[in-house]
Amino acid sequence: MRELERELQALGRELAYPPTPDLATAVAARLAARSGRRQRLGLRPLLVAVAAAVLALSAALAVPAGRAALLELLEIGGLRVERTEERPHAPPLDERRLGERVSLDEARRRVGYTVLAPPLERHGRPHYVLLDESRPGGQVTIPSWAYADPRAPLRGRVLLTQFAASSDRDLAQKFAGPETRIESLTVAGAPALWFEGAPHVFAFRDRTGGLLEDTRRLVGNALVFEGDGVVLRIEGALSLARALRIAESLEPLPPPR
Amino acid sequence: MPPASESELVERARRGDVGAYEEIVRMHQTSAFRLAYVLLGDAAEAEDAAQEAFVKAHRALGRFRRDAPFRPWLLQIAANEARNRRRRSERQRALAVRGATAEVRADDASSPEAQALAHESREVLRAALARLRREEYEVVACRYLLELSESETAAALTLPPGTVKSRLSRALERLRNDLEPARA
Repeated sequence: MRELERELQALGRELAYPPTPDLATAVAARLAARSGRRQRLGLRPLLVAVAAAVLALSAALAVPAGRAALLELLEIGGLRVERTEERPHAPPLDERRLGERVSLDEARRRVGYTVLAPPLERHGRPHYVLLDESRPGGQVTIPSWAYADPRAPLRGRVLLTQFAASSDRDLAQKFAGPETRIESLTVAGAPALWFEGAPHVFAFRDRTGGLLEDTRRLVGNALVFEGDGVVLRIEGALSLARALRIAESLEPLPPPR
Repeated sequence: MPPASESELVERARRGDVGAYEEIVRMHQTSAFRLAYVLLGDAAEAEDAAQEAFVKAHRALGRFRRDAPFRPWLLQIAANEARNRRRRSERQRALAVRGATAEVRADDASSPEAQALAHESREVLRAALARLRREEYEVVACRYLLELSESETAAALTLPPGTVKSRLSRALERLRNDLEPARA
């Protein structure tokens, strides 16, 4: 072997590679989640029955696209998902519409559930969170850009949003067009949905079941799941692998100082 | 009981044994992750790419040829995943060789002066690598930084072996020319 080749090999051996992450455990968890999904497919006829019941309601939906049809219905803790032939129009994310800026502790005191967040010891506290108290139980949103360190724990434009789960099927709604792929899986044993591809639309509903127009917005990829009575959404420009890592890292917040 | 061979594990994984597949992932996770890392230059992206590659490989196990070695097949999936991600991201190329620290090992018994010289020459080499064309950098990274064999390099990058050879010799030539003034 010539000198240059030897030098390149030496360089390769000296490169400080980051430590190899535990991919084996993460991959096994994802595969187990997928086989859990296969087992749950037995629930499908029930979902279809629910879908049929809701079809009657769908006439009242405030969806501008007249041809929007209910093709598929999924539901997690009061968040309903509808497949539509066309994606309804919605404005992109605007932080001001997600509520007022308050401290994490303030939000924790004011909502009626235990707020989950990425471990504070490891990632620090966000400078602020967004609190929307007009939602039953309150909605807390932690934006990635509220952290001092742009790399941790939510990177890029990512939101972690949570609200109290409800047996009320009409709390919130997602509309996904045909270009959005929806995968059903589990996070820590709880049912979860993964939205990927074309953006979909999210909106809250009011008490009469009408969509709250000022909450309607476009969402990129999103992982939605329920844990401890809270519906969590991790959304933005991220992969399923990263969304699952964030989901698995979440911890209940310690009591406010 | 002796540890199961790779082909036994693959066979069990193919029949739906997640534990067997987990063992396979553990055997190859460092190679897959490092390959993604040298192609992407970002640890978090490399982790996502490698994880996705293992999930995709699992999905494709039915198409895997039983008598073939698993590693080159997996590295090909991992490299594809990494290259696709890289194409998707619009960021400037940030090569691992630029960012990573190449410290001289602590057990190196040579003098501080010799260490400093070695360090300097590595830095020059690293900068020259970063100036290579993308496709040339990829073959050099696989063949020399990661020390894959020529056939594994060809499999990982989905190239005919002849192309790996010619690309390598072009890349080495370019590196030599690039380094000449610095080392004259």
